[in-house]
Amino acid sequence: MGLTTSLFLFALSSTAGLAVGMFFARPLKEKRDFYEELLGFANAVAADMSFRQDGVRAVSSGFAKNCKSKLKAILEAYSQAPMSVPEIKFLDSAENTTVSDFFSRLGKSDVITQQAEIERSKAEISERLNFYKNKFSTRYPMAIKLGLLGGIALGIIML
Amino acid sequence: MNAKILPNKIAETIERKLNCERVYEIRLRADRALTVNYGGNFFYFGQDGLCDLPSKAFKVTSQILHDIIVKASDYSLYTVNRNICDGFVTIEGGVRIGITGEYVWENDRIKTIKNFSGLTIRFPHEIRGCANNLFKPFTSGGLKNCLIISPPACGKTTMLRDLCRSISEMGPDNNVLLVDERSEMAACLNGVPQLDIGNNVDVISNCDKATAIIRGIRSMNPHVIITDELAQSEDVEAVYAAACSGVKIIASVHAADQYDLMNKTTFDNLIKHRMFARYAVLSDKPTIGTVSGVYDENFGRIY
Repeated sequence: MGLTTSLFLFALSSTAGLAVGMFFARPLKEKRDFYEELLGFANAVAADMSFRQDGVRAVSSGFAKNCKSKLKAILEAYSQAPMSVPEIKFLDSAENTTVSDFFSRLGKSDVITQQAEIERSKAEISERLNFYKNKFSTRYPMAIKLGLLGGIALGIIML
Repeated sequence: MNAKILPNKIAETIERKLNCERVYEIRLRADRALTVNYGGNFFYFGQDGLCDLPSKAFKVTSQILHDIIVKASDYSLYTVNRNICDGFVTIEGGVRIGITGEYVWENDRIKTIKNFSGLTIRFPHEIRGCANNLFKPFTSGGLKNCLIISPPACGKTTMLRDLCRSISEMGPDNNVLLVDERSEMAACLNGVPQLDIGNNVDVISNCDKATAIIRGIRSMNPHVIITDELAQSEDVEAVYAAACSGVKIIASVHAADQYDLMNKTTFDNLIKHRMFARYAVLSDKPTIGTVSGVYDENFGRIY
């Protein structure tokens, strides 16, 4: 095997290893980003209650425009059909229940109850966000390193 | 008739069994039978239509009441909290939903109403020409200050709306300011009246009459102000001040007849100073919107 080919294969396997590491770490990043934006949305609704009072449809469609996570599609669907409870498939069962509960109660309670519900939901969302932030900050670098090392090892073996 | 806020089963039955043009009101009370004002009379209403027995009528639950208000608020109950505190919510088409329930107080102010116990859904009906009998006595020899005296549910809002349209059609030099406190007469949605009030009309919605009249005179320079249901002393003082500034006033008041009006001390000043040149008394006999009499400033009968 020529030197160029060997180096190419080595680089390829290293890159593949890196990609594998990132792939396995991706769900953590998605959940972290999702909860971060969901907390932003909850704050936007709380602010709307105190100020403009445009309603949940307007707040969700407006917030969705700047979303980058999986929350975007959920908010777009919710703004069209606020009577429906969204199902969030990439969350586990307990997380799905918590988030679905948040959306199902939005806009459907009197002012006092709604404010209390939003504060409770924000606490739950913040707890999940901190969990995934911590997990991501430890696991993501580890996954990258492991993937890269694996790729390098494979490259060496092929050489 | 905007029935999309009702549960599907009830809405479908109404559309199937009744002439929607004659449905004036739907009353829903928690854990009790549904009633409908159809053509001016109340009936129980069930799967088979109008009925005489509550046992055959749709039974309304607390959840139904809650869902109706949530739908009426477009799934954002907090956006209509101020209206809920006032006791009613007005939705697209000028439909007004009166609300009863448990009041929540904070610092001597109503914070909200929760646990709704009853709703009264009133559907507006535009009747072009219903005020024709009032138009001539109100405008002959020049537009006058006029007061429509009416018991509840005799068509005074419908009458005022038609008067507004008629006066507006007199020409662009009759600028009308419509004070639509409960968004019933014009029923503006995003600033656009959904009911026909005429072209040369400016509308102030969702604002108490006194504030609307004072600000409206300053900002819109109207020739005539039309407003519904004078009740508080502040309302009366505001119209009196407006009339003194040369603006014509056409308004209404809840009273059985002119004698009942004279017993309302709030109106003593207006009557004493003969502010209103015309009084019109409405009745629901033989039908809603019947003009039982038109009187001059001394309550002498004209018509």
